[in-house]
Amino acid sequence: MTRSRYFRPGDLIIYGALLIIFVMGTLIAAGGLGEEGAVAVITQDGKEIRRINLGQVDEPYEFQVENEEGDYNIIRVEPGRIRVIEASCPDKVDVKQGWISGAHQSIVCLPNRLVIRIEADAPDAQDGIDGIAF
Amino acid sequence: MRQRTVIWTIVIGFFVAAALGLALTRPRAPETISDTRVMMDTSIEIRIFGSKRTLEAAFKRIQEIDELMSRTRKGSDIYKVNQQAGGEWVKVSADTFHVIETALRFAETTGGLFDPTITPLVELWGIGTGNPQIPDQEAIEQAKGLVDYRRVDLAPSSRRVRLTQPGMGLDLGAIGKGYAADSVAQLLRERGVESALLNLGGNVYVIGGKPDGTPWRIGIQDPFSDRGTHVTILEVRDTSIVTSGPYERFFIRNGKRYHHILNPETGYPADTGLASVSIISPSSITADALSTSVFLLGLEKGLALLEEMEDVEAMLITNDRKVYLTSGLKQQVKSLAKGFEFHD
Repeated sequence: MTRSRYFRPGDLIIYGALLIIFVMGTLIAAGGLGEEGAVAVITQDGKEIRRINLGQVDEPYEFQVENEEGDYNIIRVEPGRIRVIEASCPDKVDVKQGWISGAHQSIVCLPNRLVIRIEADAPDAQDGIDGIAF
Repeated sequence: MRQRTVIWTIVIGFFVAAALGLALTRPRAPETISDTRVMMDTSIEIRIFGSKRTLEAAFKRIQEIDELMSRTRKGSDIYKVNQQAGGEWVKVSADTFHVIETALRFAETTGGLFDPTITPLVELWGIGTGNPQIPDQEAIEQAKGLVDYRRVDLAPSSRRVRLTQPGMGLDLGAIGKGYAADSVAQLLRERGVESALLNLGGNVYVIGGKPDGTPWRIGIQDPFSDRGTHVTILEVRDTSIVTSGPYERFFIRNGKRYHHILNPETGYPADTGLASVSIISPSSITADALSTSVFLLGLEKGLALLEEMEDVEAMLITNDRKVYLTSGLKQQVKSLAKGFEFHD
């Protein structure tokens, strides 16, 4: 058996490794490895308690967030969007606000010190508004 | 044979180097970072085209201002001044002194309708706390007697403040967020930030335009609908928009709504026929104080005051859904949400 003039087993490893680095480098350059979809971050009293990639939600679900005093918010998650559906606070501003899905959007429940916000990588909000003066 | 290997290695190596070079030097997509936190008794959103470190510095500035000017936070300048009401002079920070001075100027401008010594009435009503109540008339009369901006003594050279009567109290709630917005904006500009959006509990401040160069699009809250519904959208750069209205903090008792903007003359929530007042000004402290002032003054006196001000535009909405604009806004605001109509 004649050995290949060009491809010795040892060389193949080097070629393979170089090829992988090349492909990875290209992918990183193209930004193809970044996270996709909107990520919702939920914080209470300034501490992050949950992080949900809304782009990876298949089935809608709900969960409850409670603080030490027993105040609560029930949050519903659907593919690509998130909202508060029930809350113990009196004014229900968070519930009335409805769904959020776009970059930088947030829902705040002041009495319970709860913040849900969408991270910057998400697509822009559909209404084309950057903020609201209230 | 060996030569071939060397050539292949060089060729592939070149591609690898090129790919890595591209990955490392590729201009980053515009990096906008933001966060929303509960501070100053409200929600604070800061969105900047800049670094994480700058964002943290901005929030820290808010924290500092809250620690100086909160009425309820033990150890704040305002807490100390109020504790000493009727007694000693209290030395305060330059920031606090400036805000008190500005508030007193607006008190004079509005003939005392905008009054930073409103604390006794605010505490009596408890609107925005978990336990609001309709006070009896006697208690209202007594609290009213303690509200008077002319009984605030200032000693500018030593930055000292004194309330001349026991039971008096300062409350910078109608102006503090405006000052905080101006202060954070200054900090951001000093750090080279050219694009930013601040939303301090509904007080909006924008630096520059958006990262893509287009103006910021800011909605004005529909005073009759849920949070997030807008009457119109303004396209703005380097300015601040502050809206005051009775819909933000209130409680309902016996079918009647009692809101948080109290009239120091009546001792009751202001009832002037206005549903909201939005002020657009590069100075957020001006916009903040003016929005409350105009709301308290009502439509005609409010518009008259606005005429006198420079660098200020405004949009007033009445309870019957008429929209009044100052001249500088008329070119900009062309459409309104359904149910609203322009005066004229």
